[in-house]
Amino acid sequence: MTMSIETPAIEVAEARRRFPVVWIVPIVAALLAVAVAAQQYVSRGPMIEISFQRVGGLEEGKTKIKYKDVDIGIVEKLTLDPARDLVIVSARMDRGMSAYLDTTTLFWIVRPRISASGVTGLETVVSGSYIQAAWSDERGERRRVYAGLSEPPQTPPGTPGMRVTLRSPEGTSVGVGATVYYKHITVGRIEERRFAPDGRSIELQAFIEAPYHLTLSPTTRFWNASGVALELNATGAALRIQSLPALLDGGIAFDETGVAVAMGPKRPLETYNLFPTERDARESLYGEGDALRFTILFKGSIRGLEVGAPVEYRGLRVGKVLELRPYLDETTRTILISTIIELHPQRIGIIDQDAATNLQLLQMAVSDLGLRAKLRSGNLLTGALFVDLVVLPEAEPARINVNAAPYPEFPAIPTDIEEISANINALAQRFNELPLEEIVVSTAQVLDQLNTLLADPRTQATPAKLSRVLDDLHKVLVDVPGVTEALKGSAEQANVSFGQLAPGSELYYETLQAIRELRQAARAVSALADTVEEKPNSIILGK
Amino acid sequence: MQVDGLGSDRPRTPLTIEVGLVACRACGLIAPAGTARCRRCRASLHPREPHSLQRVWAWLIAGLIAYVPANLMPMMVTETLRDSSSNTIVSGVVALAEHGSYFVALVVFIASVLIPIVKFVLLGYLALTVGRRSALSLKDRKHLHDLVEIVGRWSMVDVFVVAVLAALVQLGALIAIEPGPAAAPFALMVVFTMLAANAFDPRLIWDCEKREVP
Repeated sequence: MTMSIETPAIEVAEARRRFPVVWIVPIVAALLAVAVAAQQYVSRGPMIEISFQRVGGLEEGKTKIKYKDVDIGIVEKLTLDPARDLVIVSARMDRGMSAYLDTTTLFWIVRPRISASGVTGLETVVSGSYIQAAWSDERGERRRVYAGLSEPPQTPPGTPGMRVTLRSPEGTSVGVGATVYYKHITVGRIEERRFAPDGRSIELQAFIEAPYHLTLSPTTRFWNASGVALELNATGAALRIQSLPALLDGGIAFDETGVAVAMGPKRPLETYNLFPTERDARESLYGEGDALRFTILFKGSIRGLEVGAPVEYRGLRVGKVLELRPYLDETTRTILISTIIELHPQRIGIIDQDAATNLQLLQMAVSDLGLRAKLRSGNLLTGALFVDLVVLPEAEPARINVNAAPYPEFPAIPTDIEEISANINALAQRFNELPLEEIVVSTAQVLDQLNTLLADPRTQATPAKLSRVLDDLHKVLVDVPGVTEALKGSAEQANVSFGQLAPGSELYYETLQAIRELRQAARAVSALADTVEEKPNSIILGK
Repeated sequence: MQVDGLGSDRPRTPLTIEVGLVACRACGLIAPAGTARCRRCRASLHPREPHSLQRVWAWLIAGLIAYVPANLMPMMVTETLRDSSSNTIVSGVVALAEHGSYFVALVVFIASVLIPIVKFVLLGYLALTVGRRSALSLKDRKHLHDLVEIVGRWSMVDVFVVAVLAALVQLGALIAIEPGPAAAPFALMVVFTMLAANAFDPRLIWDCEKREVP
């Protein structure tokens, strides 16, 4: 059933068939979501893996990776690698870090650390541990998997400078992190300590910072500067300490040995020997290749000559004794002892490179100048001997026998005991020079005078005088008791007089009274003085 | 006698549109069908809101799109001396429960997770069942719509919580709370769903009873 209703006519609505505008909203929302997601994905940086032995203080999703205090990444995941006993840290780095993550990049965990050179990383106690990254300016190959360091590197990568290897035949007290000094300035650090590939010596890897690495040359020598060095020599005792850290941690020092030789451009060596003391280093010689070996037949006993004893020329060490070898001489049917020495011609000033030429020059020195070898006493205390090369123009002519085996024979001159006799001579000389006669004469004179003195009658009279003095003294002492009596009497009288002043006596009472009245008077005067002070006009006007 | 679309035998009241009339949605005044504006309150007159369903779906989809980052991105970032932790809505609820604040956790869960999901589901259901039969009666469906409209706004509770915390907890380096990037999408989601509920013309519910459309 339909009903009809009267209604006034009003404007008619038009049919609207427009597509609703509202659909823009979800479309825009969808576009935005996709754009944001895409942008996030695109702006994600690379993912890297770092393996550590221990990851104390690291948290997934929280721990940052920093470079020079700037966050460049964040740790996302920590996973175990039981096979290698490592923890793998998966980290997402910022975009733009790709270029820097190469083979020179190093990572380590920053934690509080205490060492002889100081305390580092304390801020991580409050802010939490983080991973620090460092790389050098050189571009290596890109890398995504790293092995993290357990300690911060001794030298940040990319520091200008040079690495050298130092070799030492025995372990030293120098450890990783010890300082390298040049003329007492810190110029580098020991980075690593390991066994040499041949297993016979210890190798230290040292890093020398720029610009000091430019001073390195083949003539540089390194020595162990740890602890203290005590030297006793002709000038006295010297105690040397490099520095306090060197005392505690060990240290290495180096310097030019002063043997300035122009041998072309000075390219530093890659490996240097490490000498135990500075003295050894400075006295060390060039590489073994420069040495010439000789045999010397010393006549007579070589007792006191040891392997390693120095060969000197005018006090300068130019070589050392390598071996003492007895052998049977067929021709004379006797046992001779040959001393094998090693000689470095450069030290005498023969600077040619060629060994043959050096030999020739030495030959010239032997035959023309009279260069000979001689045993001399090095230490009177121990009786040690050393080989001394001396120039004796008046010596009998001789030559280096280059045909001798195993090494050319160097001519020797007999060991003389001149030195000893010279010493005795000198002693005798001193003795001689003593003015003995004068001493004797003087002594005689003194005795005479003594005699004269004793013979003098005045001296003889002295005892009598002395006796009389004693008598007088005796007399005086005899009178002493009488004096004592007199003193006693006076004392008693004084006592009596004072007795009258005893409490209870009249005098005592009157004295007390007088004192009292005096006191009162004093008080009155004091009151008067006070009043006058307060009111000065009371003198005139009254109180 | 006409039978209503649901099969019961009672006599059916005709729809306004069947008798050539249109009611004003704002003030309720009846006018002839085809009138553009209400005589009394000047609101636009439509027998059914045009493209109501489309609008509902548009807002609903936008709300859904906005809900994704609202859950994935952190809602609140707490920075203390040692570290800075960020929490999404769900992780925040879990953290609150772990700390023993069960009541707060429950409130946040209801306001930020339960209610939005329920709104999506209900509005979707309503939009889908327009003109069709379903398990719920028409009256119940209308009640559902009312429910969605009234309760919907309470989802903003979470946004207010974050805003108040961020404003109050600013102790410098000791502790500082910042709203996270999820706050804006979440607020947008709430607004979109409210608009979706608003765009739904409840009169459409009864259109399954219609026999003829003008």
